[in-house]
Amino acid sequence: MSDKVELHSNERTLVDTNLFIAIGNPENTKFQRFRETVAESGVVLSVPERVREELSIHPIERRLTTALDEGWAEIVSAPPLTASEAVTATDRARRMIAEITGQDEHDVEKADTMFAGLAVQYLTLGDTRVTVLTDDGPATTAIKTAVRSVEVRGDVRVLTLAEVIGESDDDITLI
Amino acid sequence: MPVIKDRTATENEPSESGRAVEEYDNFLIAAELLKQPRLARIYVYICYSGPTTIDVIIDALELKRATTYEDIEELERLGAIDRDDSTRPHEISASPFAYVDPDGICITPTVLHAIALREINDDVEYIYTRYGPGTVAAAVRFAAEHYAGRLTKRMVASELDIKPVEGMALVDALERVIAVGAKHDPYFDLVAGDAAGDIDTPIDATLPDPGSESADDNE
Repeated sequence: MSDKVELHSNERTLVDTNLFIAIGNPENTKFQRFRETVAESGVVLSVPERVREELSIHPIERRLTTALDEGWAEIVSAPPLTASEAVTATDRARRMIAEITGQDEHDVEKADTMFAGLAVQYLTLGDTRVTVLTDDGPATTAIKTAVRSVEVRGDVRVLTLAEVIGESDDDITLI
Repeated sequence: MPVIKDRTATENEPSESGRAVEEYDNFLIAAELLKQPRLARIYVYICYSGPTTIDVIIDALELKRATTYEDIEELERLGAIDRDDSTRPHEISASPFAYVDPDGICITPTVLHAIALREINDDVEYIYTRYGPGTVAAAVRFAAEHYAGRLTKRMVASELDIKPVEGMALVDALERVIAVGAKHDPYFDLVAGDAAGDIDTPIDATLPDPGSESADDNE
């Protein structure tokens, strides 16, 4: 198992939909390791309304409702992107994803770029550190690049599931 | 015109009537396996790990003995596998092949592996039941492009015309298929296209040792 990157209770920690998909059902080992990691840190994960909407499909919704019921996640109303830096970060994330994937910028899913702008917007609203948890390689690359490209006070970390709970392939059946 | 590729033969070998019949038979086998994930799972294991024996297959895939004997007989009847009854225990083997048509529809062991995953993965089972085997089969190429860094998971869902979370779950489930295919499927490039050489996943695609305990993720 590789080293884990710690979460911090005093740091706003945003979670993308794909993270809840990657951890699997509550009975799954990855879900339990993620829950333990979050609980140990004391952080309450911030789940944007849009993520809840995407997850509201039976039986997948159980992953989020379990987290909400147990108190280690909460739904947040995402602030509107009023800061120019936040808008710029979103635009750059979209451009980066289009570049990486070879798709037209108009075909890039808004939800994939949302976290770049949201993280920066939270910094402009007073947060000093924001963490984004996502489990999508190309989106991670784009969000990291976009938030680093704007000048704003504070730090943004973008972490994948493997970075949070440590990599392990001991619980997968290959065939 | 559909093309059956067998890389143990010469690529430019002239087509003969006997070979055409064999190719058509191979297509029918592939089509049958797409409809029968349990058989596909055993076939894929034999393809990647064979020659092997029934006991090894039962241990490696954690199968029930009685149904496995029936499934092996069915695979043999279909012509998907070969059994050498001159050995004790009998040796079972299978040759990987690829079916490709000009529109890009492709069936290789990697695609059959994706279909077979329905047997052990709830997310693949859900997509297979809701949208059919075609969606699972088509997802393989897009999943390969994701693990090559060329599509986000939401884009894969969009390409497949399914909901974002369904696409994300399917891409996650297929990660092992892509990892194993990239290492063991001689026709992986036919499925993954240009992405074949850029696959990046932390999954160790070394196939399980039948002598050791294996764990299921029971998604």
